[in-house]
Amino acid sequence: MKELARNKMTVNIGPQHPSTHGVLRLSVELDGEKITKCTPYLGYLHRGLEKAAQDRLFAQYLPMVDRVDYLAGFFYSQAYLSAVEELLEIEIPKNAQYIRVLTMELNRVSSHLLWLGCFLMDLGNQGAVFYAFNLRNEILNIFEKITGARMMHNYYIFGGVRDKISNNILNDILDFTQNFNQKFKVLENMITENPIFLDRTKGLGILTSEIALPYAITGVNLRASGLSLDFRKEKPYLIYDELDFTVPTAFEGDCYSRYKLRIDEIKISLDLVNQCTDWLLSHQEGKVALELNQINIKPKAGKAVSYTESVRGLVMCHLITDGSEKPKRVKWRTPSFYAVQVLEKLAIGNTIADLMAIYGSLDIVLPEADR
Amino acid sequence: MKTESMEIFQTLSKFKRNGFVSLISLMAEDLSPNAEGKDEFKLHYTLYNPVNKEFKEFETTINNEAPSVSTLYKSANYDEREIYDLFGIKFKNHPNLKRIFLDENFEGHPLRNDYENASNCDFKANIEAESKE
Amino acid sequence: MNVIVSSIDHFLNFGKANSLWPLTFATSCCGIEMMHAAFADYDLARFGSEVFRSSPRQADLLICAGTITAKMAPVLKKLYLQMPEPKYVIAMGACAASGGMFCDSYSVIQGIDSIIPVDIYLPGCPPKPEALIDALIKLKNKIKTESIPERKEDLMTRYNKLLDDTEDVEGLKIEYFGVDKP
Repeated sequence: MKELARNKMTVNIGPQHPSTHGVLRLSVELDGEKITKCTPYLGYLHRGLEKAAQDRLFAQYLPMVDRVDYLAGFFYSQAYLSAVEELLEIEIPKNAQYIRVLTMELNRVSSHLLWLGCFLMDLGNQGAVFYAFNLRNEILNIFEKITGARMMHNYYIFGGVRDKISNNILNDILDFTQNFNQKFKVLENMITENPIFLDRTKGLGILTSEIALPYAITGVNLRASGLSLDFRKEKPYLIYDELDFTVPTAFEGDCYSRYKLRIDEIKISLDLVNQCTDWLLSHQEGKVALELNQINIKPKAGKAVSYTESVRGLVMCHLITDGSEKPKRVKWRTPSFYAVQVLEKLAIGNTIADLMAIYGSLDIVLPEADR
Repeated sequence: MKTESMEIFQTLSKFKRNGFVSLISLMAEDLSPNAEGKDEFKLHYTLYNPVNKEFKEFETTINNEAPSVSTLYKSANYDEREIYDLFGIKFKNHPNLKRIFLDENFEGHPLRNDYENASNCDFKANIEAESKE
Repeated sequence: MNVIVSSIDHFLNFGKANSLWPLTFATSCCGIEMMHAAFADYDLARFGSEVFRSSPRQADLLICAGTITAKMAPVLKKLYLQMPEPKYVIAMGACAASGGMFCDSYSVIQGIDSIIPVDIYLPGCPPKPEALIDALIKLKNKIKTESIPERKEDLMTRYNKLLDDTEDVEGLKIEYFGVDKP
């Protein structure tokens, strides 16, 4: 009996798609329903941010830094400023350090809430997005009170932060964190023990540490594989060595454990926010910025590298200066760039629906990967 | 040229055998034109050892070509494609050396020092005027 | 005759303006504010945009939220050409309206109106969700001024401008978009 020939079919999951967290094009080769090869195409959002730094003054590049990853603008500002302040050989006042950590941890919570809503929407639960975005809106309103803008804040300056946070806003933040758990429980109860969710995510997309380390994966994706690596504890910056927090780790490495870790991270970040707010409420007299001329910044010639534990992993800002008023070379090492590579490997053998679940759980944001 | 490229590959293999299994960052910098008027680039490798939690930085100067380390470190695959795309440095023995960010028909390599940006934005003029004040 | 045409106009414009279903097209930061406008606190559904359709064949409004690069431009043009008439475009954010802060970039298109015809420009970086609602209301008022006798002229001006530079994009010929030819 003649055997029927089987051909492989190529499906294009194009740059415009409701499930992509950004404009990523995946060209997927299918044998029946299983994926045999998955090729990502990057570059649909390549804006030339590294070249833009070479033509701008240090202060003129600062608003662009917020937009490298728009969901974690504070982290990238901190990475850039940490490198510049290392070359300027200055140290920012303690109040400014606490304010920076407070805003960064709130930013981590808001980014994880957006991830949660979009991950669940990809899996098909279109009602959970509304709860997640409602909570995220409250955080953005707090940011608007502190900095004046909901998303691109431009709040950190050379030498500190722009303005101190008043007692009213600090009390609003405390109100938010105290009421958060009750509202978040509504969302969590819908999802964590839901049999459909467990079927779709348990045992899927297993990323072991033998695969993750050569691919330079960091952040939650690596911690879900068993390796406890958090740059807030490895290379402590700002006042993280004075704060009290744990770093959760899981050992299975599948989509469900990455989801669980991010939920735990939300709770730990809110605890950090409480600690910072309590400290700031009792130390309101300190200065929040050094007296520096923001335009006439001329760091010494040299190279500085800053390590920041951002929402999705490790962010490094390499800065090379030559003594003039413009940077010579700025390079961003972003975590999503490497997560796209790992997606290529993890997709093999799964169906397209599973590919969307894996893609969502890796938390890939394209502006970070494309710069 | 051959001895140089063997040296880079051998040094990184030695690091990998000593436990630095993760290449967390690979950066290129354009230093051209050098003293002889030719192209010169500098590659910065940052390696990590998860067992004793140690970082190591390694810098090397090259002309226009370098050996690919994507067989040692998988993350170098995309890093080297990005450097080829933006700087024009060719990596020998790379499995798939194509442009990654820009279109295939794009001419030139933007982050080189001799790239002429064809934009008609008078942004540059404003900086010169402001920074003189 | 004019009375009949103008009352049909009024009826058609009422239908077109009050039920604009957008396409999910979010490239960059403005996309997040568009998502905020669509979900809980700033509900776009009460202005007629009940659902965001993912397929351009089913959408009437293209809210271009985010930076458009030279690699993404053919995709945007193809999506616009795939949408059925009547269709409208809102250029949301500084990057879509004019290139934004990436004015000297080697890969960013300086405003989408060099590729597709735009009805409403919405400045901001990013504009707040309330600004997007304001843009939608202005678009509705603009639609209510449309009339049947002027429709042909409007279509011809829009498509003549688009078809002038179709050598840029292979959108009108059959193309294996991104897929290897068999």
